[in-house]
Amino acid sequence: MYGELLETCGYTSKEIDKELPRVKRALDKAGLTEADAKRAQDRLVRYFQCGELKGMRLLVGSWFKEFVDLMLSGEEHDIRIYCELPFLTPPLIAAAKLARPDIHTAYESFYLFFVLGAFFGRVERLIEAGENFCLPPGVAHCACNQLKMGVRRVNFLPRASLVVSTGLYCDEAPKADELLEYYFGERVAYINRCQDDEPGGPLIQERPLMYTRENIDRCRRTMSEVIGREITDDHLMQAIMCSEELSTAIEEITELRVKADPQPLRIVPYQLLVYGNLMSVNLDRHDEKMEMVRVLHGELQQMVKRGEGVIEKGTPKVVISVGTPLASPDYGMMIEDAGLNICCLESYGSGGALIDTGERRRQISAMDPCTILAAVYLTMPLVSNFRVRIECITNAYRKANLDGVLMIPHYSCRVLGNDSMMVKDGVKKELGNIPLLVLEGDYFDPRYYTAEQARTRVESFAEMVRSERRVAA
Amino acid sequence: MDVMQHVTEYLRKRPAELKKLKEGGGRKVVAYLAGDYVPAELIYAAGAVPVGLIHGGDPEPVEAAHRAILRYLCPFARAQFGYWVLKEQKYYELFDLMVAPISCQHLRRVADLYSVYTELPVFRLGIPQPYDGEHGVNYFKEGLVLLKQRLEGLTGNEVTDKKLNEAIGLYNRIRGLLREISELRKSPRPPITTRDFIRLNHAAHLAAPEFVVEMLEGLYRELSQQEGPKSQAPRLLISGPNIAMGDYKVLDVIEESGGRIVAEDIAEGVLFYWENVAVDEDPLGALATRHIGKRPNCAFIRPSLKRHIEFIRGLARDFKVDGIVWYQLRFCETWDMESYFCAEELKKLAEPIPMLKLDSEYDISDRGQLRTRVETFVETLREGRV
Repeated sequence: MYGELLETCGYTSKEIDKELPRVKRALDKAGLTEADAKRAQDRLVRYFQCGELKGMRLLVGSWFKEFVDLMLSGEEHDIRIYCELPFLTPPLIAAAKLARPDIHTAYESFYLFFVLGAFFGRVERLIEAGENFCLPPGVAHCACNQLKMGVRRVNFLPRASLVVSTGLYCDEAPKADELLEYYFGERVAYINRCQDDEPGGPLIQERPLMYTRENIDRCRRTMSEVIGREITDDHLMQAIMCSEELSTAIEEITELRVKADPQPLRIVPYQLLVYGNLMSVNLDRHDEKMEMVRVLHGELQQMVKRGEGVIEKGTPKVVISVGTPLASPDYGMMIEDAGLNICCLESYGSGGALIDTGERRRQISAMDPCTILAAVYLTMPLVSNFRVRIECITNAYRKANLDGVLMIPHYSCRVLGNDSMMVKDGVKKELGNIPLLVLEGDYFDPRYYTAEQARTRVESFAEMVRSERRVAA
Repeated sequence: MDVMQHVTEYLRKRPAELKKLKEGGGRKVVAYLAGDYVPAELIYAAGAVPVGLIHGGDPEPVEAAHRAILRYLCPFARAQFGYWVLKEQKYYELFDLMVAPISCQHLRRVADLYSVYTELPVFRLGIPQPYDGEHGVNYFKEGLVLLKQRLEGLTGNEVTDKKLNEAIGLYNRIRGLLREISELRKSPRPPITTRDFIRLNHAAHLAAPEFVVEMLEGLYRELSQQEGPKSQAPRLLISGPNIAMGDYKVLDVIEESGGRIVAEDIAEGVLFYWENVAVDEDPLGALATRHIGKRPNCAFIRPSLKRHIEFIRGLARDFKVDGIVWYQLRFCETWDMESYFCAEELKKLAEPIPMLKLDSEYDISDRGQLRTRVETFVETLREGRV
């Protein structure tokens, strides 16, 4: 059964022969059985188009390989640097591995949510372990923090030598990391910023930029100390360039999806692709990932040329803010089955995945690498401020000539959840009375907001979108 | 206590007085959000009237805010917008500028709500993480420079070092008096209840500072000659993000259940009066050092756990506390996370200090449940003492 799963993950026969013992060991450590492997294989075909697209098999394979490495990192590496959600600049961590290749770097919580959650459907027990430990239900703690506490509580993973913690826009994640330090003795390096920028004002201003830069540089120094090697500007630049290369390749698929009708790639596999850039915390497989994007792009182009798709031609197009729940792939599929083509994410309206408009890109390219990373953070559409989010959704709607807006705020996120009414009002002000639905949800925890609960509302919304479209026509 | 009635009466008339100062005297009113990060002396030195937005405890404003925000924001933050929606609390309508310390996501969102739904201007004052370190203090000082410029533009008055040092002197006097009154509660027979003491702190955020100094001086003279009633009630410390003006339910429940609060670790209490500002050649630098470098930690700061627990232990020792009531607001994620740590640490002490965790969403239905839990806690402490 494991061999079949690996085939679905795009492993070659040679790779299967070589990797099978490691994979078995990793799955065993994760408490996953052959029955789980079968289940994962079915889910990969059903939700991630692994049956028909080789590119998707390679993509899920990339995630799966990172997961296996993570599970075995205690046996295979002495130094482990993990970053946790909501960390968003992988090159910083990747640079540590470039400086010292024998260390292990991982985006721990993302690998667990996608592989253990979306592929295997088995992430709940770790979230529950965190809930039962110190992040109880009823307070709206984010499941990504409950997960990382649960992971440590049940000794699911080896301890990290360093956890890089992101306090750039969220208070809960760095606080949870502080608890990791206290309870489990894991060293933590915090990257903070002050969110005192004026919404609507310029995103890059000298004072906050330099403050954030100093935080990033301090983290670089801590990482250098932990790995015993200096992480140079060259390491950072190399990592930034790789990340940009991958982003740019992914953007081409984004453009293809927005224009294609019928839609050849569902939203769930597309999100896996977009978040694939976060795997750039480890550049060992960079070439493999670039090849994966190239193969997928080629296959999708062929489908478009043949007029083939997985969503019926003429289905109304919507943008989703921020995305569909990551650990519940059935949710995205339910929306599409209700008759909506989620052709882009909110970030599409910013014009790029990491560094957006040409002007900003020019500004940024003149900077040193720590300042570039700081600028990337400060200009990141999702996390800068609500005005930028309104602008992104509005731009996406106009640019892609859409029929509606679907918002699924992550209810427990004080950043991306709590501004949803403001964002909704702002979008309506800009675009008029367009079809727009806000559905409270949870990106990470599949237990509370299920696809079936939302189905009726989504179906009504889809009907409304179709009706508006008919009237407009 | 006559003084408390005097304060109540003064505060009742204060909104009308502020309106008169604005309309008749051309004074600007500058409001600031809670947490003790905004130096009121800077506003005062600019010739504006500083007013703390510190009301809370009512369910209606919390509910009213839901037209613009999901419920997963702490009730205090929701109320800060809800009061503006309801138009029932004048302090929330008559200011010319709001200074919002961006301390946590909840207060940040209050600033956003005012920016989106009102015409009232907002100034965002960044709070560096963590407090300590020159880098953070400098960043905060630069923020104060920007605030000073904004205030000068608003009022047309230059904030000179002389004026600022005078204002610092006035506010130091308020903090000093509050600290002296607070320390009277170290006595086995405290002459003032913590409920009244917190109300004095609230008054210090709303009343004219000259009035506050005069009132506190008189009160201190009176209290220092008195002893409170003899009592066997367990002595308690209350710790939490804040106790808003009007959020007296938990204090009342504790007193009614036979407990006696003798100290508080909250923004409208110890965090406000704990440190004074140096009167210095660089007053903005001194304000930054006091408000960021020297102040006790809050839970949203990371790392803060060790420093916070040390501070609580010190208070517990000095005020001879038998137990701690941890009072947090629903959906305040960082205080909730820190509560777990604090309870564990307090258990590990050579003489462990029991802790009771409570939370509130300013809902009237909380009261019965709170009462049962507090009564049980107080009874347990009482038995321990016997």
